[in-house]
Amino acid sequence: MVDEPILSVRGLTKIWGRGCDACLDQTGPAHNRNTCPACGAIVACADVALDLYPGEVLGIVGESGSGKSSVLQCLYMDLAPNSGEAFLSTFHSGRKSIWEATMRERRELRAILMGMVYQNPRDGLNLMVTAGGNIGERLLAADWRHVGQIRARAADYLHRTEVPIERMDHLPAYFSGGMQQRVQIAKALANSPSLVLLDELTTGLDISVQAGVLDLVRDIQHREGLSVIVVSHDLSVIRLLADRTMVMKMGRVVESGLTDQVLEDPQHAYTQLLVSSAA
Amino acid sequence: MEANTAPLLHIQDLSKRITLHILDGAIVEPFSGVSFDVAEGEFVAIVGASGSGKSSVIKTLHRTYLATAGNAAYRTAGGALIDLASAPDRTIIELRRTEIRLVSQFLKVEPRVPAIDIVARSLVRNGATVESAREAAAGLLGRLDVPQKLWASYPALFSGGEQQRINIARALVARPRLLLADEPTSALDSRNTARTIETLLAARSHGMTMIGVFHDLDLIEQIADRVVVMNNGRIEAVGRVGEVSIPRVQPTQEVAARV
Repeated sequence: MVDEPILSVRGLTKIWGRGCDACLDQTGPAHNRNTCPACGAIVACADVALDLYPGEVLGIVGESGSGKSSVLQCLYMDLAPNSGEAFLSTFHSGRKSIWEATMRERRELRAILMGMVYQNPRDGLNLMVTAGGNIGERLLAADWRHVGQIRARAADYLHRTEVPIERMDHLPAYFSGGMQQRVQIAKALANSPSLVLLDELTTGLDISVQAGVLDLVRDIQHREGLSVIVVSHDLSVIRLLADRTMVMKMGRVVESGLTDQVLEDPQHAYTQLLVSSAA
Repeated sequence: MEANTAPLLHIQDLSKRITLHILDGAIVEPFSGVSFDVAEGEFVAIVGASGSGKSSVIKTLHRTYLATAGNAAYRTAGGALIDLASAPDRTIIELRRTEIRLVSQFLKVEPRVPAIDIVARSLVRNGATVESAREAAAGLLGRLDVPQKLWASYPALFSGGEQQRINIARALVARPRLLLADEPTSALDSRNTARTIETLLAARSHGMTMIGVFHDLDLIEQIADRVVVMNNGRIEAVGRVGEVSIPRVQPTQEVAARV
């Protein structure tokens, strides 16, 4: 049993606005607000801690505004946290927080060590560059230099994500939402990142298309043993993909545990409401 | 052989209380003060009227429910003692993968996966090749008499009895040391029940231990070494089959009570 986490996060806090001494005490589930009454700053997430182990899928569930996407955006460095540390075992052997990375290291983290799939394919793809070009771009950033190898790898990942190879040289702008999402997944996974971040990856899709995308992610995860954090407001997505689950509300983690335990024996009032609403 | 005299599972004062915040903090107590030991290779049946807490005990041992108090010391294949009530989530995940399996009353499986792969997946996760895992799965499905024409279909479309056998096959294929079973044969006819019993007894001959909720008296006599009788969340009696009186409960009443 491998018991060194691939990712270890402590004290992650993100506040929008100047912030004041009262921000953390005056917000959160107990106050049912994430806007600080003293200074008006918004506490997106506060003191979030998590460990992710190799080959594991961790779910983060919560309603809009719970802070779950902020956690992912901080990890992918789309957002800079106010405080906290995050150690990725493949970055400086887990001895330097990713939030202390230099500009060059940040590029390495985003292009090589981590892969992000956004809710909106527009955020993860350049829709006016071909599907193959999108993947090639990411491989180039990861120092792939041989054009033939890049094309072969792009074709391989488009095949794995069930995008017809004949669409490889087409622009994703003219793809369906489901196919755009599959290209985005291929792009995120093509250079075998240590950490995969999935943010509401099926939220904008039709139900039947959602099923296809989820099955795809589940199958690739099983086959390749990816380490994944999946954020969703949809309990069925969490149930299908996650080994362990964290529940967030008003920027705080209110509960965490084995996914079946969180869904069948929820402890926190908010989780009980969430589970009974979905049933 | 000192190891064999120590129980496989030592359950002490296990209790479960649920606070329903969405019902103004109402408190439900499925069971409390549950204590019993299970020896390696033993089959223990938990019996009792509906609402007596049987299923909740099984779920708590599987950690689908969190215990409120007490412990359940499980002795692993490697000889370590692990409290199933308080061990870290990661330890429980590992035990579920390698040693402890649950057969719930109703099949809960990933949608859109063929029956044979649902069974085979348990082995693939433990490192077997897809081919050898499917072979083992096919063998077990055959022994449980699941029609071969169903193997490639999705179990969501199956009858209750077919689903139940998929559920059993999925748990047994990985040869668990401890099987937790919640009415695993409630939807089976007598012929399929007999097949299932044969399969469970064969697993016992390979050293498997089982704790299961059962209703059928004949079945209990055939399969159980000992019986734990529960009433209203408490243990009323523990003893060998024939030594304790087993309350008769119709499975249909049980289902009706839940609906």
